[in-house]
Amino acid sequence: MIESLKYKAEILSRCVAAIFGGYVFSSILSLALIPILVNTSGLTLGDSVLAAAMLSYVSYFVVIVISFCRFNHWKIWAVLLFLTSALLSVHRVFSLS
Amino acid sequence: MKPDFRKCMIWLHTYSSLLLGWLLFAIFVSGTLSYFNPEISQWMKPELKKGIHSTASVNHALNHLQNHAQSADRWRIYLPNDRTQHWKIQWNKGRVRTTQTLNIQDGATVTVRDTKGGDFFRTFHYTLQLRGYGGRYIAGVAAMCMLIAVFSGIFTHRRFFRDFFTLRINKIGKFLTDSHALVGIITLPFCLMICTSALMIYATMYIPWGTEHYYAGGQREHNKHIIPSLPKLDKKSALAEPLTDFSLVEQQINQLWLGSDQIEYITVEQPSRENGRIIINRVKDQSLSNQAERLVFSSVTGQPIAGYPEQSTAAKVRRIFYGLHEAKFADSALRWIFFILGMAASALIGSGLIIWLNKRLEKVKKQHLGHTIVECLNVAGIMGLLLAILAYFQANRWLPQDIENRASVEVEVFLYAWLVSLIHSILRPTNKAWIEQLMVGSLLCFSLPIIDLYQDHQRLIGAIEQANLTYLMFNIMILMAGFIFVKTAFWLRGRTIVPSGKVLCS
Repeated sequence: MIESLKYKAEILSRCVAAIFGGYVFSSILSLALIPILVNTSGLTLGDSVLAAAMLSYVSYFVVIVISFCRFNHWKIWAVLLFLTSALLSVHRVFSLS
Repeated sequence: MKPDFRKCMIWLHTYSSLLLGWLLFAIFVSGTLSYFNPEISQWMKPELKKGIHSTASVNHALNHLQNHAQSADRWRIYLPNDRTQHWKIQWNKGRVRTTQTLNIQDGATVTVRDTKGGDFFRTFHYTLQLRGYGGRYIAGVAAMCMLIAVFSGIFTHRRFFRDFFTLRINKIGKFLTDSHALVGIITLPFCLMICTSALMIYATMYIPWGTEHYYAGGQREHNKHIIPSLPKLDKKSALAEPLTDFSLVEQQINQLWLGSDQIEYITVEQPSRENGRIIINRVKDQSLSNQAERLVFSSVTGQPIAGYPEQSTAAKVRRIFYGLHEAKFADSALRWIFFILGMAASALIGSGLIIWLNKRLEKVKKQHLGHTIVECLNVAGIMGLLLAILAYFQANRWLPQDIENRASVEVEVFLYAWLVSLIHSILRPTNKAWIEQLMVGSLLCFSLPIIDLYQDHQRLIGAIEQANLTYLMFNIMILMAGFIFVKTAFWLRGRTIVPSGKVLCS
């Protein structure tokens, strides 16, 4: 009984990590990519915004697949939180005015 | 969760597809039908006659607009082509738009029945008739689910090549599993292309945070920045007569754009002013992008003036994804391949849903509520959708021409037919529901060409005389669909009960 509850909780945790965690991660990535693209590739702001939004889907897809891989789900959460906060700080520091 | 990558992927495959399977089926079927959007519209508007257009017909349209809409802000002429005979003229005055259809043979105006035609399938497949209520977001979620399902589906095969070459046709359960795997592999690149491009078209709508952060007006403002546009016209400049002889412009176009019938539509902005301009949109069968090439001329002198600025790379990439998704570049052979792949992908989704249920029903002694729900949704989601589409076609022929909002009544017929199918699937035992709905479907299919003959036999005779392939192919496809429905119904009747007394095929 407890075993099956634990199993269900783990699936829920993985689903939340995949769907919401992945979405938040790729949203933040799309924001963080914009200053990077503008400064390194010479794209205009408008182009970088579009390119960043398109590229961020790749990360969403990867997060979803990885969330259901055999890694420990706590580890997935930890990595996801770490990367998201790292990207958030990139966005905060380099955000264009 | 079981600590094995392959098992994890099987789990992911099962539940990501089950979650939105029926929705995906509806999206794929209606999306596949939109490959033939102009042809379906042509069939649904039998008033349009086949013919050939020339410079004289453009001149005729310009004269017609000059006589009827001199003070309009914008004229537009859609030229007929080999896919659709709809010669449509439109003018805008302020916010009011008037549309007329011209008969291609004599240039007189014709009244065409009010219908959304094939455009209904096109809009339905990404808005789900819920535009303004998050329909496009739901479709986006579905596209992502499909991507995940396709990707994780690869890992469910331990022996990829052996599975590919296996097809056991004697047992229905085995046959479905084998063909599911086979079709899955064949349509894999197609599904990846379609789902990725679908997401990319609306990239900034699904992940809007970049545009929200950098542009005060969000997406709209962002689009204004990256989509090239012409300078705004002064609406108060001096009056001038627009040119009435299009051949001057056409000569210049022919030099720049090689090939025949290169014009998709002609726009005239501020036709009565001296700063008015003519914008020519090229047909899109030359490039992967769905951004048509455009040329701009003065509407008074017919001389070329400054055109659209070059599009940026990022915007071009989005246009190419758009173009890939719509496949306007495809000639008819390639379009048929896309159509067949789209149908195969729909069959993939449908068979997957049925397999899910079969596998579980084989194992359990007593049916779970979840199983019953899936059973009903399988009938209503797969067969019900097809019935609804057929009902939409039938409504196009049966509804009187003069009722109000005829186009939306047709759509209502579509939705109600779907609802009726759902109710029927709940009331009847599943196997009976399948067979009965298949029979109704085939009846609707077979009666469609007969109704056409009964209403106006000139349609068929005319189509044969003029070798109107659009009309003939539509009827052949409908008859084929009807035949498949009958075949499946009889096949199901013979095979479904396995010795244990359980219903095998849903």
